[in-house]
This record gives sequence, structure tokens and C-alpha cells, in this order.
Amino acid sequence: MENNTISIEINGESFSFPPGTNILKACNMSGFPVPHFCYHPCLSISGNCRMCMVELELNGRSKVDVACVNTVAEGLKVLTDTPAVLKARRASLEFLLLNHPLDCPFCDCAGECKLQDYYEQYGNPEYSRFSEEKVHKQKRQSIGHNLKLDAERCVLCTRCVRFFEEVVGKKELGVGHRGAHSEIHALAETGVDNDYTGNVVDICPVGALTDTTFRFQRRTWYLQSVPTICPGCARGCNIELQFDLEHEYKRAGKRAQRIKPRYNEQVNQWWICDSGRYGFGAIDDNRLQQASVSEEGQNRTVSSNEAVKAAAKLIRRFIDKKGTAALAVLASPDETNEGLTALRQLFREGLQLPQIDYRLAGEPQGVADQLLKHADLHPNSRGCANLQLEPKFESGSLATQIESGAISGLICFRHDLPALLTPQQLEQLELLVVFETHVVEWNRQPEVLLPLAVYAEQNGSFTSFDGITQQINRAFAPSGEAGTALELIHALAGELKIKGVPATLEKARVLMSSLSADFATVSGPVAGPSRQVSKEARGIQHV
Amino acid sequence: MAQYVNHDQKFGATEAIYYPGIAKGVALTIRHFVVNMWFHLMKALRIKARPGAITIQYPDQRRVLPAALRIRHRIKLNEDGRLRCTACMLCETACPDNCIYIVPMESPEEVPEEKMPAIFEIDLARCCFCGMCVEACPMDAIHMDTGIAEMASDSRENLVLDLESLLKPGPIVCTGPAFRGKEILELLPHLKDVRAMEHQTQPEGSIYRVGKTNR
Repeated sequence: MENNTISIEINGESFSFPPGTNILKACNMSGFPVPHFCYHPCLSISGNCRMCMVELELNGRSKVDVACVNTVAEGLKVLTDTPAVLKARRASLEFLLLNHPLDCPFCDCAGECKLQDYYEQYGNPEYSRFSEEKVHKQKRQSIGHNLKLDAERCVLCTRCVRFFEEVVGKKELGVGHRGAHSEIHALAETGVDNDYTGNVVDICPVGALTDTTFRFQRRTWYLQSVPTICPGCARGCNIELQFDLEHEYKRAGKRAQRIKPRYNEQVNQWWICDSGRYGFGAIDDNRLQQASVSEEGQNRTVSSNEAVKAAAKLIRRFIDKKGTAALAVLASPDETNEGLTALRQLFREGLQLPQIDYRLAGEPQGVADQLLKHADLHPNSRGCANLQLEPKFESGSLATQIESGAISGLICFRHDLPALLTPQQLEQLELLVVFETHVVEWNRQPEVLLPLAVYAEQNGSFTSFDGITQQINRAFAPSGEAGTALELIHALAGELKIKGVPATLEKARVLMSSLSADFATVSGPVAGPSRQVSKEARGIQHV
Repeated sequence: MAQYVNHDQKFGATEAIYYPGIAKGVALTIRHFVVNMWFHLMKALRIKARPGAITIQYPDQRRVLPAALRIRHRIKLNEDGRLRCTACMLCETACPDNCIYIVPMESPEEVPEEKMPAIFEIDLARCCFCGMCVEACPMDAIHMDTGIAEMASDSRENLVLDLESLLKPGPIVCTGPAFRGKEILELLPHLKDVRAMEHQTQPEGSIYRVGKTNR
């Protein structure tokens, strides 16, 4: 107590922990994982699943008790796998499985289910002793948003109830009825309604809560996973992007299947918001596949190389005719730092353009909340600001400058121009070169339109609003002929005969780390060649 | 395994003139004829001996197939006449040839099983008849006991069995010999909707083919 730690003995080895640490956490930290359903490090202790049984020995007296409720005490001896403990766990599992419907074959959780795993490890290897009729409850209940509840599968750990109450701060779910007939139900008639509902699917240790967007789409063992960063807002939540390329043909080329949060103490802990979680559709939907060049009203599809050549020719001709001040560049806060560094090298250092910005007046803003959501809907606005991608002299907004004729050429990366500029303003532009990820309805066809890769298709980094630079990883190849911003800008620089634009990620990293202190360290895992979904990577279930 | 012919082989003297070879072949045929006739004669005289070789007049006569034979697949219905398959994809996972192709869907509210296949196809051209799918099935839905061994076809497309032909095993090509199926299963009423949906979900140019070759 004097030096503020308590030493205990776990399976014969000595460890010391700060006072108040519960024994389950202590065992997990010491490398003796204890099975559990209801315990979650971020939620209050419930102690209802009775799965974390361990043998506790203090002052010569021992008993089998739950590890999550008890805290460490000086001289305590913990034994995690004695015959008495294993017997107690087997009995707990037998109770949990009494009324379980055992529909693993069509349960979406099969393969990442704690009940399955623990039964394999600790369960009774013989047949069930239960010969009575099971208690039946309502299956496939829609309890709001994207949630489906199967009351039969539920082990009543109440993680979901506690999550809404303690983390989101809104009472959404409750446990009704008694004994074997207890079940989870939504408190409001309209069901669950908040911005963090998807997280209960992750923390549900069994398949009771499933996600309608992923329901029956794939089996979990088909999925591959890469650690990356959510591009939904400036928070920079850590995510696992899970995808399936082998069975791609089944759902008309939909590669990304779901997004799971990845634990990061500093940023998002265990959670992500629903708009981030269900935003993966944009990776595959409505993507721009091929480059196109518009000449004298004629629009033709070309290869990316040809389009880059055409763009270089047009930019060179425009600068020769009108000078650098009339050509503006709109960089994208959705691009990686590496792509933006290349952009800065080409347009600011190389071509000496004064008009570079990354913001466009009238772009939608999000609504911030106290948990994760940030008002800035772009993942890398801070990266843009760090690279000083701002106009050297302020002279009114882009729209007014186009109207006054000060700007007559525009190179735009991923901004919704048809929505934010009027058709007249777009008509006034002599040169419009657009790098876009998705198909956009153009009322004035750009001279050159180049397809860009989205975040899931490239390596790089994003800088969150509070200056944490985090690694994003490539999950699969860009769709169609799309290229990353880094590749396309390097190719454009080659055509324009401008040196000093980084060709690779490593070169861009070296360059950008000299430009801002935020870029000094890029945190987060780099995806290796093996992409099989590990148990840890399958979301946060195995917490 | 391919057989390679040695073209550099030198013929010996007896091989070069052919006649001894012809004589050997004729002698073998005559030996088989005589031995076989001897056994049939013994049988006719009711003297116990090895049975003589007989020719089965296929397709009018058929051999009795062993009960455990793994042959063309079928999908079973349960006692209430619903599809047993719940599209759990364990057969697809277990299949070493990747010849099973399932697209799952949520079943109508009145069906107790939540999940059912919208498309279930087995590509017989790929199948090696190992029976792993039967072993893997937790619902006892897929069986390889139809006894249908005639699976020749003039196109690869015809060798892909869909859900309808798996429920109602019939000949692959109508021009073949009379089909000897064990039972004709009544199709589910909602299976018609499945078929309609399948036509909707499979676009022209067939994404499915591309995927299969890309695998």
C-alpha cells in the first residue's frame, strides 16, 4: 500500500497492480486470460454471466468466485485453471446454453461468437443433459436503426443496456420479464435511436444483436481485414475495414463488407459512430472508372496516362497565356498527407501558383457531439492546414473571383463543384481539370476528368483535428483505372517537367516530416502481407 | 496422368514382322472366349464354378449401384415440406473445388428458418464427388444419393445444377436414356419467387462466370 501497488500471485507468478484493479483485468494483463461475457473494460461491473470464475486464496482460505467483482488484495493468490474452476465454468456454460437455440449455421455471429469459443474450450464435451422443451422467444425483432434482436440467442450479459446508459448517456434498452423468460427490449416504442447503435453489435458476445447491413451477406470467415482510419470526420477513429474479394461476384462487385472499430485509447477507445460505420458503401458505389477528355464539345474516354498528358498540355498552355495568378487549385481535405505533399510540391513549389486552397464556401458541415463526432466532415483538414494549402493573398471567395474574371482556370480535387458553383460560374472557366472519385453529374464537362482512389485503395496518413497523424492502409486495388493522388500528381509533374515531386510514399513522408511537427510520427499499424482476420481484428468482441 | 510414347524405341526382330504380335492377340481373345464359355457351360450343367462374365445391356439393363455411392447431389426438404438448406455456406466453405455457389437471402416472415438460399448452384464440371459438402451440412440438407450416374452434357452451362434441379433430380440432357430418379419432390410454393429473383439478380453478361474464372 505504501508504494501504491498491491502484489498478488496469479498461477504461482507474482504481479503488482494499483489498488482497486479488478482481478479479471489483472489476470488478462498478466497473460492468463479469463473467459467472460458481461465484463467490458469501459462499462460498469455487472457480474451476471458467472463465466469468469477463478479460485481466490487469501490467508489460507480459498473459494471459487467471479473475478470481475473482486478487486486485488495484498497477498491474494489467484488460480485460473484448477479442476474446481473448470467445473464451475462448465456449469455456467451449461446454464447459458439451456435455452440457447443453437442456430449457429445461420447465425451471423458464428465464427466470432464467444459462446462458441468458450464452449469449445471449457464446455461439456458430451451431449446436453437437458431433455425438456426450450423456452422460445421472439426471433428477428427490429429494435430500431440497423439493429435486429434475436431474444433466444441472448445470454443476458446486459452489455448493450449498460453501453447506451453509460457511454451514450441515453436509456435505450432494458431487461424485461423474469428468470428464463427475461429478455432485452427497447424502452421506446420507436426503438433505439442514437448515433452509436452499431457498437452494441460489436460488444454483444453472441449473435443476439445483428446488423441489418451485414445480415446474411457473408460468413465471417470469408472476410479479410485491414487496419485503417475512418474518413468520415476529423476525429480519425481507428477502424478495421473488412472486405471480401473472393466472393466479390456474388454481390455485383461489392468489396467492402463492414467496418469495425479498432481500439485506440487516445482517439476513439472501442467505439465508432454510425455514420462512420455505415459509410463503407461509398467505396464501391457509383465510382468513376475511367478518365475522360473533353475537346470542342466532344467527350471521349481515354486511359489515365493520356488524360494526364492532355491535362499537362492544357495547364502549360493556360499558364503561358494567362499567367499563374489566374489558375487556382482546390486541394482536397479527403486526400492523404502524402498526396497533398506531392500536390504542394507540384503546384506551389514547382508551378508557383498563388491560389491554392482546400476549402470551398458552402460545403456541408456535420454536427459535433460529446463522444466522437466532429463538425468537420473531412479526415485531413488539419493536414491541409499544416501544409499551408491556403491562398497566399486573400481576395474574396473562389466564386466571386471566377465571376470577376480573376480566376479562369481551376484544378479541383474531390469537391462537389456542380453543387457549390453555379452553372454560369462553371461556364466562365476556360480550363477545368477535375480529379474525382465518384461519378458526378456535370452541367459543364471538365476538360480533363481523372479517376482517383478512395482511402481504402491507398496507403498514406491522415491527421486528425488534434494533430495525431495516423496510418491508413490499402485494402484492395483501386477500382477501374483510378490512381492515387500521389501517383497522378507525380505523373502530371513528369509531363510538366517539374522536379522534386515525390514518387513514393517514403519520399513523400521524408518531405512532409520536414514541413510540420504533426507529421513527425505516423502512428498505427502498417498492414502486412497476411490479411486473414485475426480474432483481435474481428472488432472488439474479444475484449 | 499423361502417357508419353517413346518414339525412339527400336523394334526387335519379332516385333518388326508383326505376325507374332497378331497371333498373341488372337490367342488372348480365344483364351477368354474358351474360359468364359467353360464357366457358362459349368453353370448350365449346374456344376459350381466361378460365374462367367456377362454383358449388361445398358441402358435397358442397369447394374445395382452400391448404397454408399457418392453420386449426383440433391437437396432435401424437411417434414413440413420446407427447404432444409439454410444457406449457412458450410458446404461452400468445405468444398475443395469451389464448385458450390450460394447467394443467401432472408426468408419470408412465416418461415421459421430465418435464412434460405436465393441461388444454390453446384457446378458438376468442377465437382470431384468427394462428399465433403454432405459431411459439412449441419441441416442434413445436401445428399449425394440420387443414384444418377449419367451426367454427360454437350455444354458446360448444362452441368451447373440450380436449386430446382437439385430439388427434383432429373437428367441433365433430355436426349439421354430414361431417368431413374428415386423420388420426385414437389417444389415449394415460394421457390417460384426465388427463381424470379434469381433472374433479376443475375444480370446480362453474367458476373458469376467472371467470378468463377477469377477464383
